[in-house]
Amino acid sequence: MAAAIPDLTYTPQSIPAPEPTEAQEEARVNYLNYDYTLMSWLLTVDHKRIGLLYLIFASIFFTMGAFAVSLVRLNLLSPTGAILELDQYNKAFTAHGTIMIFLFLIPVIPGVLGNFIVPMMIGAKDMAFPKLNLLSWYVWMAGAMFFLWQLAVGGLDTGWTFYPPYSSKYSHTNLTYAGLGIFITGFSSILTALNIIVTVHKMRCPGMTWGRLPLFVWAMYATSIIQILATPVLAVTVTLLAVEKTLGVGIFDPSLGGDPLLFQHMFWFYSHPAVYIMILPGMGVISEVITCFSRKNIFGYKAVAWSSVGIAVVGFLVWGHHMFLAGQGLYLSLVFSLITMLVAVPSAIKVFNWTATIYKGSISFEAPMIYALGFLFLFTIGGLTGLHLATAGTDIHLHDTYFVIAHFHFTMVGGMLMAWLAGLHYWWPKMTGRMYSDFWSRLAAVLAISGFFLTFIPQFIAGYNGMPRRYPNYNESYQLWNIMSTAGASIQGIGYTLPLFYLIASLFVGKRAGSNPWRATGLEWQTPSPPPMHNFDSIPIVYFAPYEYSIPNGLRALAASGMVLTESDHAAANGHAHGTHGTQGVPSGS
Amino acid sequence: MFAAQDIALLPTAASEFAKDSDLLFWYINAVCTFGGAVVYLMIFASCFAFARRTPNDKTPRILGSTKLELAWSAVPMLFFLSFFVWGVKLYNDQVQVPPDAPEYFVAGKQWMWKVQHPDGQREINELHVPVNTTMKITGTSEDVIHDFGIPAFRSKFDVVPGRYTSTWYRPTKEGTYDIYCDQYCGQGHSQMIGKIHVLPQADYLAWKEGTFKSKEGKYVTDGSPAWEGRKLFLKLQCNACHNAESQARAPRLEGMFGTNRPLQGGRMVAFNEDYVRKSIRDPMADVADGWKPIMPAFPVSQVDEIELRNLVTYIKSLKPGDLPTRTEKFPAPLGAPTAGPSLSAPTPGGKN
Repeated sequence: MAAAIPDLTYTPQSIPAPEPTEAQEEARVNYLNYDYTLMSWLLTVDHKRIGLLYLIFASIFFTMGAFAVSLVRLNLLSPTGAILELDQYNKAFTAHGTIMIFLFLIPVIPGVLGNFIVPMMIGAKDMAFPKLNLLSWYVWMAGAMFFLWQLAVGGLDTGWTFYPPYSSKYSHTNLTYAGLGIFITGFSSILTALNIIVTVHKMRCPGMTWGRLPLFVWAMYATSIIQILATPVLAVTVTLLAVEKTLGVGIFDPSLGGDPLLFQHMFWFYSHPAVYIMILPGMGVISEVITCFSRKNIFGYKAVAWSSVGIAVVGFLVWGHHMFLAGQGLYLSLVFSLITMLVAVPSAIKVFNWTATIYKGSISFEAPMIYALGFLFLFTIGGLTGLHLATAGTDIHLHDTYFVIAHFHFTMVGGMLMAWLAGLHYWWPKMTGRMYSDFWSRLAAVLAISGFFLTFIPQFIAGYNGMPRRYPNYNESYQLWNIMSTAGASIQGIGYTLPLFYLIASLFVGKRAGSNPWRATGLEWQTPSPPPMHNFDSIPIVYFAPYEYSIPNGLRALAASGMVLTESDHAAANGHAHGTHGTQGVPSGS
Repeated sequence: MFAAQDIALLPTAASEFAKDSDLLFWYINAVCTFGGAVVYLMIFASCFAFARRTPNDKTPRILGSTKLELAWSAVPMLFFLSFFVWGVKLYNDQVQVPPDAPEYFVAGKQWMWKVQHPDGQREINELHVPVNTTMKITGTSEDVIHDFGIPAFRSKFDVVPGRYTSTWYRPTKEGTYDIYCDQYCGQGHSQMIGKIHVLPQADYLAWKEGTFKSKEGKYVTDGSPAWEGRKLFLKLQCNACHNAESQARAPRLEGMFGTNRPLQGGRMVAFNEDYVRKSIRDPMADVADGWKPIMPAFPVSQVDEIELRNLVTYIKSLKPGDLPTRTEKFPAPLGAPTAGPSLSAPTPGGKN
């Protein structure tokens, strides 16, 4: 029963559905148009709709975090503080940090793309636990409400790191609400992670072996492991902090017999892995986008996949590099510095492999690819400057200066945010069925990236010259760098605002995207856009590794022969693909 | 708008450690710039050379190369390890305080730095130290965690409530540099700043004595002999006559030390330690020209020799504007804040 394979210039993972005609398209029921009522959204258990719920609120929280930082940047125009009182400034940068980290960077890719794309990538109808998935969104929203409440009743001024005894004893702001917010959103992280792990283990379609998993799925899998293992420690930490603050039990406050360094150990035991929670999904997105827009197989699938897992594991053992100056002792610093150097290696491997992937490709520069290239440029700088900080001797000078600020914004914004925008632009046609404006999207990407350079390169210089972080007033010799930074931030602001307009406009005036506008290989592109309610009209069968963009002679012939196209030939096909074409797959156990 | 000297480009390196730290920093910079440049060049070159020409460009099916991957894991790893080894050596140098170094004590509190010198002198938000001398700094905090950072020394260490932490300096370049609090500590975090003055040995000795003529600071060094002398000066109400007011009944002692002064009868006298001492013990012996001989004598039963020496040192330290007013009773602690951090404008320091 050989099916006709459309004339493609690449080898999709499974047989693409035929493109519907215009009339069929109009009549087609998809996950968006089957029901328009509010309750159909609020009680949905469809992973795609839950993904969109996350998208809406993550975007709102991102806007709030951006507003907070615009206050910070405006204030820093003047060495004596342009617009804010000292307290207001402290609350503004705390709001920026906490909102961006706990309500945007951590949940956005797992919540939106993880939910929406992972089940489609592995050919599943939904997540393993659809109701748990919805619960996870509600829990996240409940936690977010505590954050908003905390902001509404006066804010928090501890910084996102909440170091006691300042936070527990000397700051009279709303730590308890914020702590509750973190505690609750943490559960949401754990539930989503659990769902993704089980989904990846149990829901893969026939032929989707571990060696054929798209790298985004590998990245999400690694991320989920970190979330499950690390988040409880954060919950414990904020609980202890709340106990100290409200009941006066001495845990961290030395005047009550506690140890302030204990908090730092516990906090960073979560919060360092948390930066990998933030960046790993972004790295997954980049692997998808780079391969698609350069029409190449990923260079070194195994290396890229296992480096995600390597980062996840080793990332747990480096938290002490935040404490080189806290008095933790020589030998601890020595060990943490060494392991930090080791965790830099998998990141370097990834960057080199992506660079090798575009070599000899056929590269086109639509918005997702511009963002992805932006990621490569910015993340490279972010990663390399991490080495200055991982080196114990130079960290003494650079610690707690703007050098650190610039470094982690290069990884978190230059890396993670660019990856998120790349992913959003890449999968937007799949989510909505519409294409956005090519011109405006490219312009926004270029603005965001160039504005980013202007914002954060000067901060490296100010930081090397000693400008401490979290200073509303500063030595005027740093003013030029701060003005450049604020100018760059304004350009970035335009770059991040534009998508709001052209993406929403695309819903109304955008061209129909068709099922596969980028001619990508992944399963999610082999079903119409927007996808039907259960993603695929029939269960897809996977024959190939994820990124067969280069048409290998013989491979298509094999696919076209029909030999592998029946269920019964499936196992044989696995063997074939494995032996003949060097894919790393082993038959799925599920 | 900005003069070149007002822009922080490269921080001054004013200590031995600063030079070591910079060397490693620029080594890492050089390696990273090279590594980053390789990646950037490859990406740019690929983007130009392999930009899509036709929608159906053929691309080669390259699945990877274990050899290449091993190479670009191992080579960066070797460089990373070199950073690590050098960095740990430097870090070790910085945390292993040389034995016998004189110990300066720093206490952070919201939002000021209190410093005590090995010989008991005290300062707030200032630190005077001798050049080319190894010194130990031990710190703690009275409330929250602070961090005592001096960018010009490339040095920084957290001061933590409930424990002592230490580091050490060996300043090599005279000058005045910034002290910052580098660990967020609340409202006045950015005002918890100060100055460190690296002085020549002789000036530092004078500073310790309380007679250093620096431009900053009206008062003599807290905890110095001159400071003790000042307290005594007020206690004995010397300022009832020796003050800066127009109806003062005795010579205005500021700025006199080291000069020659006229005496009654047309003689001149060198205004030095001996003369000041003698004038306190036996005021009638050499009365200053133009003043009535009304000063009482202060015998050893009233002012012993140690106290007298402190008084002499205080008078030695006086420079114009230093004399207390006629009614001043008790010395205000040196550098005591006169306004809360939020009330006063910050002190924007000069370039490092």
